[in-house]
Amino acid sequence: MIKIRNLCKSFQRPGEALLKVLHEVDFSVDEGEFVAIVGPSGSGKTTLMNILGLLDRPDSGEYELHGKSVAQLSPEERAKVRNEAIGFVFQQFHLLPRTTATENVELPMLYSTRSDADIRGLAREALCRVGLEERLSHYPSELSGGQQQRVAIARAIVNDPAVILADEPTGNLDQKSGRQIIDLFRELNRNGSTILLITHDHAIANEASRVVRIDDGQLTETISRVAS
Amino acid sequence: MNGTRLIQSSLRTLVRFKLRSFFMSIGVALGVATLIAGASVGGGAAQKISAQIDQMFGPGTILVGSRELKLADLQAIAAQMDQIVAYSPNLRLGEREIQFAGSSEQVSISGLSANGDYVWNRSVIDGRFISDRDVDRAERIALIGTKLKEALFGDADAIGEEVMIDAVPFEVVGILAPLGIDPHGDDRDMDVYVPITAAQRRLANTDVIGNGKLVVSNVENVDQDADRVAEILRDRFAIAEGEPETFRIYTSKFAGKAAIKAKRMLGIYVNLAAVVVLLVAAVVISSIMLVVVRERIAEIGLRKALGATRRSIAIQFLCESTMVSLVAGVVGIGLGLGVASIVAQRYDIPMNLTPLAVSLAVLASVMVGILSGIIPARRAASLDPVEALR
Repeated sequence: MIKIRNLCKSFQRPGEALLKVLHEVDFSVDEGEFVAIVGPSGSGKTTLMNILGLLDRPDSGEYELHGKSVAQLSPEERAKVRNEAIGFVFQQFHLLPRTTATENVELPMLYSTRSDADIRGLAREALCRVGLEERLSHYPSELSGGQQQRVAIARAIVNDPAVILADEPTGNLDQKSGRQIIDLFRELNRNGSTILLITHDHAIANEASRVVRIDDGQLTETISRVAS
Repeated sequence: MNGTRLIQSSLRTLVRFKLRSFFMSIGVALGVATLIAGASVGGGAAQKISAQIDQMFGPGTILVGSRELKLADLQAIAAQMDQIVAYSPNLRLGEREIQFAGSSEQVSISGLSANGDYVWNRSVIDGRFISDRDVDRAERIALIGTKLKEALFGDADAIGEEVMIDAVPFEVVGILAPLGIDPHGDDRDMDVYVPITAAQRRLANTDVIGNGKLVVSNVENVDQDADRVAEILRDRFAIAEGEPETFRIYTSKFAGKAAIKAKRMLGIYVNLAAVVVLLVAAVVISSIMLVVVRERIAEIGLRKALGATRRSIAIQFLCESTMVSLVAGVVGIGLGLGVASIVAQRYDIPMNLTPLAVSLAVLASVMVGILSGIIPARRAASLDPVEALR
């Protein structure tokens, strides 16, 4: 599903030394896996996620998604891949304010070629899958943090992506809501979704079927377990 | 994103941020209102002016004016030129006092001949016009305008009553058909006409007529005919070669051209003002849109993450600025029509708004919207999603 080799990424801020954020990273995710990437802040996990999500480009190295190299894609083609193959879940939810739950979930489909009727139906279906069938026309400001994150998850799964990339999805939630979000990810994973979760919380990481540790730009450790 | 959804979401943004939308639209609304008001009243004013020129001059006429001009001069011209089909003097006495039963008015008084109704295009709606007999005998009779009639007599009948003009008694024999205000701003319904001879002998003590109008048979040749009239007058007034003329000649064509030119200049200034306002409006929209882009960086980053291309982001912001401008344009058309109808009513000008002017106004607002959206849209499209989502 996802295969990266020798991936390097560094930043140069004016007046500062070259900062190697990712250094010769090798990493792969198979279809149907639930992988957690853990590491302290500044360890490069968000950069890795941005590259995996095609929001950022690596300096060097290979990245294959679905068996196809994405290094040479044009910006338009990358946008299309993001739209069709990747579902993002962010720490800050990133829902559009003053826009209903349904409309928020419809957003990625507005950049596809789906018909209006499909868009409505699929958005509703996705919200049902995350347990928000009662909140279709609510605005984000009328929803709890956990509910907002579930809207965001519905938005991530609505286009039936190859992989869901979740960056600290429970970082802004209380423990109970965070728990529910992780349970939701596990349920989605049981139903076939491939999930890549980034967190600094080991308790949450341990819910995944595999945990990858990232430190100083290098993947140092891989713990595999049988999916429960 | 498909078109209807784009327009819907743009309109919703417009409604959501009412104050901002108001500031963005006010310039376009005012600019378009200026365009529309100018177009509808300007066209109407031109119509009115040319109607008045036709009324005053008639289609194929030559106006002659001189302090020396006498009736004999007009007779001589008519005798030498077959193409002159009619002529009539018009002795303007200027402001004189007219009195009746204690009320008095300062009015302009002119002396006309019996064919003045045809040549000067003034008819009566009540009573009779000046006759040849009146002219021969310098009868003390007068025709008065409708407003003057009202001022002096109110609802009472004026025909047969005696009025005093400069202490000379005249009998009112006719009421002139209303003409309204002429392009000089004179109220033609306050006019008084008396027989030319009565004006000369009983009011002015002169034998000149001052002004005359000649009607030619062929409208097309009126300018050549005017040249011939000038020749005859130079001869009769014994003006040597190279000496300046002591008379003035105008043709209906000349007056029409002058009016059209004046109207065109006015139109250019009004439209220029509108264009300046619209350009300022574009700058205002543009700078507010730049702030909007900055405000919505997270949204732009999110949309990009969800699969929006640079192009679709750019189109979204272009669409927003265009919709603001378009809605403002429609409001401006309404506003312009409102102003135009007030002006039209106040100055009795016909309204004349063509579909072309409306389409141009709509086009102008769309252009302003697109123009002002270009820079913000480019900036939004070029945002780095990683930075934008941070």
